[in-house]
Amino acid sequence: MKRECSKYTSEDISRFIDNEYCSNSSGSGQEIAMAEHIQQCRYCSEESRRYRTLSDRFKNHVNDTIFQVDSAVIKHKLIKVMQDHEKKSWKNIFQVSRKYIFLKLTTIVLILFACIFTYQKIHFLPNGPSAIVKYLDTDYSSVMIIETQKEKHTIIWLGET
Amino acid sequence: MGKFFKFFLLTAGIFFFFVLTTPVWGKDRVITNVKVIHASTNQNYLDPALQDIISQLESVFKYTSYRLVEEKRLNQNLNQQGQVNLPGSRTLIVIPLDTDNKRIRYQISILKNQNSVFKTRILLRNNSSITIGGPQYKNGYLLFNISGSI
Repeated sequence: MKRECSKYTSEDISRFIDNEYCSNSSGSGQEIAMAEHIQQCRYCSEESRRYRTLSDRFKNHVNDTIFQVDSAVIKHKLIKVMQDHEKKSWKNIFQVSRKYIFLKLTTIVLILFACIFTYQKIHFLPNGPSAIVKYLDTDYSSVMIIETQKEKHTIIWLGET
Repeated sequence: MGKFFKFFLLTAGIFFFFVLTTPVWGKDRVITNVKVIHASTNQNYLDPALQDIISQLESVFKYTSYRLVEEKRLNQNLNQQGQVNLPGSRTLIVIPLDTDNKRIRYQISILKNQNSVFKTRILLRNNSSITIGGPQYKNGYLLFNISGSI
């Protein structure tokens, strides 16, 4: 529809109907001027009437919808949503656990190997002398085989005449 | 990405398994390190190169000077002869005969003027050493520190 009045746009009138000019400080003067103009201008009056009708219908529809809603149903829906959320959380935890089960198993295996290796080193490596003399033949006049007390280091000492 | 990660972990596990267990299973190659040391009471000197064995020697001997004369590293196969020339027309011959889990069986000989003056067979603990000493040299004595590792 073509606007016959050029003082205010359709948007200005829509905002006036929605009381948007009341919210800002400079709006009150403009609101009064618009109210006076709408009373006097046939076109703006008609447009404001259309907007007001539309606005009233919308408000009525919203009110009707709100009053039709049963609070018990809302409560039930809220509980269901919360329960679903809780289930999803647990599901996520189990999925994460399954995802990293391989990593956990590998870590356990590596730790076991490290423990076995350490145990083997401590318990199975000999604590005896560094060298065990199995056979000896020499032209030297005397031979001493010594084992140091602390580190069990084997020494063969050959005595020359 | 998940498959790659699993493959990586599996490979790492196998790698660590072999790295950790290989020294216990043994190898065919033996690293033998021979240190020729001159010990005397003429002066006070401890060679820094002998730091790892000096405490063992000092716990037995009363020498005040330990000097590294020569060091030779031999990378040997089993039954392969390793030879180190010693001062005083002597020769040290080292042969790794075999290995078990923890020890290396060595045959060690000392020759003087091509004649055998000393021969022994020992079971040397892996990554340990034995010291053979006694030959006189320059107002002191010669010590031969022989270490082996598989």
